[in-house]
Amino acid sequence: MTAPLLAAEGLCVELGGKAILRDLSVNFPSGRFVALLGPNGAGKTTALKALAGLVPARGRVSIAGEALARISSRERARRIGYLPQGHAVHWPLTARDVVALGRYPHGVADPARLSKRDAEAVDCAMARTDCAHLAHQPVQTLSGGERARVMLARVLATEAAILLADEPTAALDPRHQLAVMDDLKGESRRGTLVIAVTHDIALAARMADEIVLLHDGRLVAQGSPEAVLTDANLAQIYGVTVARPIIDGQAALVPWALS
Amino acid sequence: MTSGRGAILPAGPKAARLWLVPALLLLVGLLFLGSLAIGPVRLPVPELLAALSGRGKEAHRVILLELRLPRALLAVSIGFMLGLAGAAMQGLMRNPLAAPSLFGAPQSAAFAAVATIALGLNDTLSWGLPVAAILGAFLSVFLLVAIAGRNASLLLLILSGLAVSSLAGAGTALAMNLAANPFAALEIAFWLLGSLEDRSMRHVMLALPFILVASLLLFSQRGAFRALSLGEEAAASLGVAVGRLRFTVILGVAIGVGASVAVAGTIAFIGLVAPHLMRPLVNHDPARLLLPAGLAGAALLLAADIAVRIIPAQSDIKVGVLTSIIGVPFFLLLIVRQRKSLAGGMT
Repeated sequence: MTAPLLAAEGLCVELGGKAILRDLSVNFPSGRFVALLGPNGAGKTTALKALAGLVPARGRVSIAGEALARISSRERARRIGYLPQGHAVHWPLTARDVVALGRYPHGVADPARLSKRDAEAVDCAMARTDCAHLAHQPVQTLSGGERARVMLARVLATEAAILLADEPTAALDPRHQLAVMDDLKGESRRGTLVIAVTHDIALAARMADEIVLLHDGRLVAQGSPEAVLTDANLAQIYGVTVARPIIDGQAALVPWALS
Repeated sequence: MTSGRGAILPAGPKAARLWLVPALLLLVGLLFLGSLAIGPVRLPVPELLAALSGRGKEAHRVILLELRLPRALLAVSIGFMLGLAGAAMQGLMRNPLAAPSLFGAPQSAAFAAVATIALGLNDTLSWGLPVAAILGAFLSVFLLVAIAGRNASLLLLILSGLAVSSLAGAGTALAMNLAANPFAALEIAFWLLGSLEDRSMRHVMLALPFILVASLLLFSQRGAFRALSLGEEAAASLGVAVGRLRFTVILGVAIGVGASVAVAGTIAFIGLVAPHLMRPLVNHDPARLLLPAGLAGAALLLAADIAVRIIPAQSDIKVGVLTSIIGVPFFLLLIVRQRKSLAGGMT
């Protein structure tokens, strides 16, 4: 049997003496779209960072059976693309220069001198997220939705086998939320393992292949949306009841009232 | 590629880059020649060439080789260092207002140097002086980054910088206060003003190795500055060792600024002005900015050092005074331009 693409065993993270993540053990195959859910403070972002090797953690993370700790940071960056929250860009770089940063792990020093292969990856990523027309605009002048797409293109340009995205749909209008989730799902269909932290349980239920539900730094459930997003789990973890209207023959999930 | 909105941008990045560095090199070259030619004794180009090739009047040769050449070399190397250090600090802090002089680095370097002079450990020509100045600068920048921390907000940076430079200023004042005689105090005071006058090749040899090392350290981090535009977390995820980057930049800035202060006193605001002027010309790319910022710094300091010789005054105006007089209003202008984002509690 081949090793899962990404696996964590007994992952624990403490920040300032407080346990944020407790004994998380999960594993994921390639080509899957995973939504990482949980209420505020559940440890979702920390879990994502620990999987990316960006916070000191106890336990073991491995990529295709190889321990993450033994992989150089450059190599790790080639294998795991990480999209942080907030989409900050501190200088008015052009959108294309920002996307070209996705090639940094592949040794691209200067976005003005991309090799043919690198330029291809950059253009392809921008085309997929529908932001090719923004290439020469400074990112500061872009709208929130446009910027989110540029940042997504940046992480796609790395062409990593694993893509971790922290709240990629936060602060976006419904159209852009759907577009970003569509892009992420499309990426998973190309064989990438995509794990996205989100608060949007409705979108997660509709689009994700698999849900990982965290609460208080612990894994509550992992499985298909139907198996994990049960009325009981949602009432217990989120404290809400949900309505499940049938739309296009599919049961949708709408947070409805406090439970 | 050429969408309606994209078309309003000026010439593309490649076009901008091709002429920029050669143009700056030419400017620095011309100012360097000007710096050799201009002074109480004017040396027009033919005289210059004659003196350089070993012919010409003995007096001219002495003026050129022993007075003006060291001065011009120091202006080029220190100006370059200050411009580069400013660009590097701004890249590290991801903020256009970050400059070593705003954070008390030169002031701390000066304090450390003055303290060793006052204690009789150093004279103004010993190797101990740059070492002390470098330590002072390192401590101050280190302190600043330690206080401001990972997600340094501008407010925090400026406030901690103010505290550090006030402390260094108080320390310097104390050293002058306790100086053995009024002449020593006066000497320290003049040295603090920042000047390139009456420097010899020995000063050049004292500063140059440190400046070279510092420049190499800062240039070695080029690519990381660009990745850092996305924030420290994203940079780390791209494979940048952020902790090591921070240490390397602090070390580079401290070595460069410390060595500069050790031979020329405090010359402020080059590190703020030079990168700012160059930034739009490199499309705000913090990595591409380094070399032009250094060259612009060299040109600025050469120009300022020529200006203090031309401006008629009772006694010589110190070049450090001139850069401050030009630099502070410039700083204010920068603040006014950024008022909106600053008022919004920018990070």
